[in-house]
Amino acid sequence: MSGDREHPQRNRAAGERDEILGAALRSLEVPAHRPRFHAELRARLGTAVPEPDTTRPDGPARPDWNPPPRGRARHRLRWTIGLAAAAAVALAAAVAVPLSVNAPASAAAIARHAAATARTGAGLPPFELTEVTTTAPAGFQPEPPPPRVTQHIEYTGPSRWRDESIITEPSREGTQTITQIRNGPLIASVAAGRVTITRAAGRGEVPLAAWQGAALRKLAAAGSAGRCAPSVSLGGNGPLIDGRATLVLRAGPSPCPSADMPQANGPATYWLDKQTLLVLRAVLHGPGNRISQTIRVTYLRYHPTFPASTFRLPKPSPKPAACPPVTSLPDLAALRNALGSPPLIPASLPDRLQVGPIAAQPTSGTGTAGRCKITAFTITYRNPAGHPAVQLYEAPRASPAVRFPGRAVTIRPGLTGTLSAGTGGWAILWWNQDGRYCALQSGGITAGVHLTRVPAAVLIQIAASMRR
Amino acid sequence: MASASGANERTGEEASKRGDRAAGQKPEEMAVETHLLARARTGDLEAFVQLIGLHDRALRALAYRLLEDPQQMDDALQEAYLKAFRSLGGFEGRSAFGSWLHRIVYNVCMDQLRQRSSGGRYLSLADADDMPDPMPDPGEVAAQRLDLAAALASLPPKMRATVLLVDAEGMDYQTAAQVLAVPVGTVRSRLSQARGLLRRALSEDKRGHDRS
Repeated sequence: MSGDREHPQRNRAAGERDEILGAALRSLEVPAHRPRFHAELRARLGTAVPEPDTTRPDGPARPDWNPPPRGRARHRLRWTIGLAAAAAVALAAAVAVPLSVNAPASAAAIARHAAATARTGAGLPPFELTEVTTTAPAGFQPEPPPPRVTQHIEYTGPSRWRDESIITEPSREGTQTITQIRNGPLIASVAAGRVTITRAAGRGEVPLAAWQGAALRKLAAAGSAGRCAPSVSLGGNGPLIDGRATLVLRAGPSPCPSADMPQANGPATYWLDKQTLLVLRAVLHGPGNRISQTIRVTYLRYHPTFPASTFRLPKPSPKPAACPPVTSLPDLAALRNALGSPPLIPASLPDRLQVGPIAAQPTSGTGTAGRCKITAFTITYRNPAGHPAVQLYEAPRASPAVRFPGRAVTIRPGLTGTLSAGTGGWAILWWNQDGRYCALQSGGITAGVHLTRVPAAVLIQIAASMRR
Repeated sequence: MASASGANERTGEEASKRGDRAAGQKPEEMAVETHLLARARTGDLEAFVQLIGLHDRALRALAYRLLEDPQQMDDALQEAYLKAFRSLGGFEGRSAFGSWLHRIVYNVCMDQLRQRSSGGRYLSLADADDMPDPMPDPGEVAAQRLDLAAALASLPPKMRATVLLVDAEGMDYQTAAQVLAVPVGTVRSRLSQARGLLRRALSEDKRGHDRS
């Protein structure tokens, strides 16, 4: 090919070919952003503080902070993987050091060792443990942490364990149970009757790290030597917890507060198993010195005997189908036909709003493999001048859409919603109705559409008229 | 070789004539960008959102072609935009803002691909011990007359990014090299291979259509 370029005519021909190729590449379809992309982005930017990156002037931004939870990742598996990954990233800097707890050791070394133990299981004997982790919201987080997780772990080693977590949904919509079984290189995840088998990444995480992201990040930071390391001190012997002697470790406020995991920003106290350094109890404080996360072990036995079936992997469910990103529908009748159950639609539209574009989001069903069904959709309503003014987003109640915080409003007797307003002039009213999650937005940009603003009262009026 | 760069190597000027934003912007666009950048540096969210809007289409194309999933594309772009916003203080303007943003998006996407390849891929128990090669041979795919998107998807991600930046977005080699953090020579060689494979896909595809 390089020989082609030496001949002028061949050079021109090659140039034309490149132009044709470039044109073909530019003509490839690129998906639009998902609904609410810009609203989510604005919300996340609102919590981010610009930080000068003087270490790599003009270089790519790879600031030294952990990736925040993904905007729409309020998904049961993503939770597990995301939090474990966040903990792993936070702990990556912590170098486990051989440590004899009987010998004098610095508080930082103990913190470092405890963090590494929770992440890798290094040095832990087989155990069975039940613990409760509660996490309070601490400022806006695109993916709110589950307020309560009860975790039962059966553990024989880093590559052979079983973890059953009962998770309370962030908006307290209910609970869900996720079971994860690691057996050798594979991990089975069972959630909502669906079994997914994945290959474990490297040595993998032990399940202790899954729900204790903030507590372990804090512990790892306390054990590090960087400028962001909080102060750390030993508080002597603690009380017996389920028969185990404990050691108290205290960490001060973080010198580098985190926007994506503010639960770890304040002081924290840990009660560690004196022998293994497992975290048996922890209390973390977040913004305003309010308690942001607690961990409490309620049952712990070392060297238990597990039935052989404990770590047997279940049969995986069929793969979910790959579905097209967005489908346009011509009218409401087509939308009703496309959905498995009748949608909630405004019975009346105030302010002379008119139905505009309708877009549906196909997702793979949990039943038969290869089937995509439409469960979520958007309807854009235009004002009398023809400009998009309001967008309705509707999805199953358990959908991973971000629930923006805001003030509670009464839509109609017996139905309340949450109204939030952003600095960009957008307003979102969301609520749950008949098993569906509904959100109305005005102002701002959503799915690439600029929406003009309507009064919040109009959104409430539309919401009040929603019927099947 | 008469010229190491060859006749096809784009300069910023050539790209500018084509109106490509990534490679060369019109003065009025640059003025808007400079104004928005100055406001964004003060923490003005709306200015920042408008600023990234200037490059969003090209960045969506890059992220989507690398990740091949619209949800992951959006997740990656949100993460990249957030990183860019946090790091605005470190941007000194020695490279174009668009190139800087491209590099952040590229890095985030490559991180996601690395995470994807190190775990989390769906597989059945039966298949677990007999996993097929995840990356089909590009030539083979092209020879099967799959369309351009499929042939593009079959290229290794780094090669895919190179051809997208240079051929689709019109970046000059130097800028593309900065975005990809590789020497200019590497851009040339990746491009040469990628173009050959994609042309083959196009011509095979065309022949297929002609026959049908």
